[in-house]
Amino acid sequence: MTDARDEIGRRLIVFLPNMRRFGYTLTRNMDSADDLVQAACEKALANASGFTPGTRFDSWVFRIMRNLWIDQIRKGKSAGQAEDIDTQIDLVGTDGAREAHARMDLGDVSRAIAALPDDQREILLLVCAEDMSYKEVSELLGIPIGTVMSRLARARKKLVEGGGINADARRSQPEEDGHGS
Amino acid sequence: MTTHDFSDETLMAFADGELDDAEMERVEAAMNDDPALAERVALFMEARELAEGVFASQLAQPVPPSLQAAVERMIAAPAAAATVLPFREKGRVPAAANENRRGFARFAMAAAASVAIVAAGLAGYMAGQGSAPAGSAQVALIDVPGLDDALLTTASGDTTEIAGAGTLTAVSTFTDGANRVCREFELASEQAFVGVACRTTDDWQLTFAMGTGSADGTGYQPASSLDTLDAYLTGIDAGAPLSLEDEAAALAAFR
Repeated sequence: MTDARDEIGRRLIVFLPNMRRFGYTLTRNMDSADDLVQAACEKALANASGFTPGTRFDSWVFRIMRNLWIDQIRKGKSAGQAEDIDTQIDLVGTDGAREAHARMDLGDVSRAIAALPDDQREILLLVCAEDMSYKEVSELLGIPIGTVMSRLARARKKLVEGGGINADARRSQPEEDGHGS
Repeated sequence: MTTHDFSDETLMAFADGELDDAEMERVEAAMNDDPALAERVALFMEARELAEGVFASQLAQPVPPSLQAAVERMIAAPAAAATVLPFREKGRVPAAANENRRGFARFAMAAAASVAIVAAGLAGYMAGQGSAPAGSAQVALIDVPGLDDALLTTASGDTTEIAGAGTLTAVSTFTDGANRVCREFELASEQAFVGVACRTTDDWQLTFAMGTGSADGTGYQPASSLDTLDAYLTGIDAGAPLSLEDEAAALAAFR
């Protein structure tokens, strides 16, 4: 029991950046996200024995965070406190991926993501950033795979529209660079 | 081969490598014939790449030291907090009483509720435990400010009757790890509780409460509640009980 709790603790510390990111995806507010992360850590530690070794730790933690957040929304306390996305972008570091899309403003894409409906933004993160399969997302969220796919497809279409890409402009280019994923 | 009637979902799944082998091949063959189809797939890939860039930048943000420290403290503490948590979750805190609280951490960490508010939550906890349903006495605590005063004026070992709320027995006074003055007490009416309240500048915050059964002795939860309390006190780094003299001085400072 204590071993399980220690193990969960170690993994939580390592996972904090991902938890904050998921929290921000849910709440769109960094303070709320950090509160949510802290509450989720407490709950995860309290229920350390509820984690089955060999299963996905990230799914387990995200589920805890979602449940807490849904609870919070139901209590009518924290919905709709999104903060200006620009305050989040200040801390962005440059990296290769960003330069590869020099013609696109990272801030534009951030805003497009922030403007997505909650249920689409969440799936976008889980698939594109957390590398979860459609099936894993479907299990985490408790919705059919078809729903995961339709929401994700809608989110991605909005993103290329809002992110400054349009298909016509791209067609004029002979070839696009490889798309690593 | 002439009609490439693929849905967005299928093309996206292709881009994500989520189709089975046969379907992957089918889409791939169709793409060779139809540049527009390849273009649609490329857009889904592009969208993913854009999203990855934004999400990667979010992940690169440093974790605030305060958050990291809070989680590390939780990990280091005995499992006491875990056993305290449930009544906060099961408790039905009245929305009106709850408005002034800011966020999750406060809610979940049993840190910021006034005595009266948590007493209401505690009633819910008792109900959730399958004990007698929340009695009117507990709910009434919301409207009985006497509890705050009683905690200030009752010397450890003494009792104070709080009209409508029951009998308060002060057990001890000590300081916690954050150097707050805290009191352990028991409150008995139809049901009995053991609780810990810590003093802020202008009121008491109930940081721990647990039902110990009915005041008439039935339904008493042996040992476990006091073990839990002990674990909790260890967890908050509770100091040794103050002498009655020091206690009186500490409490007088808040009046």
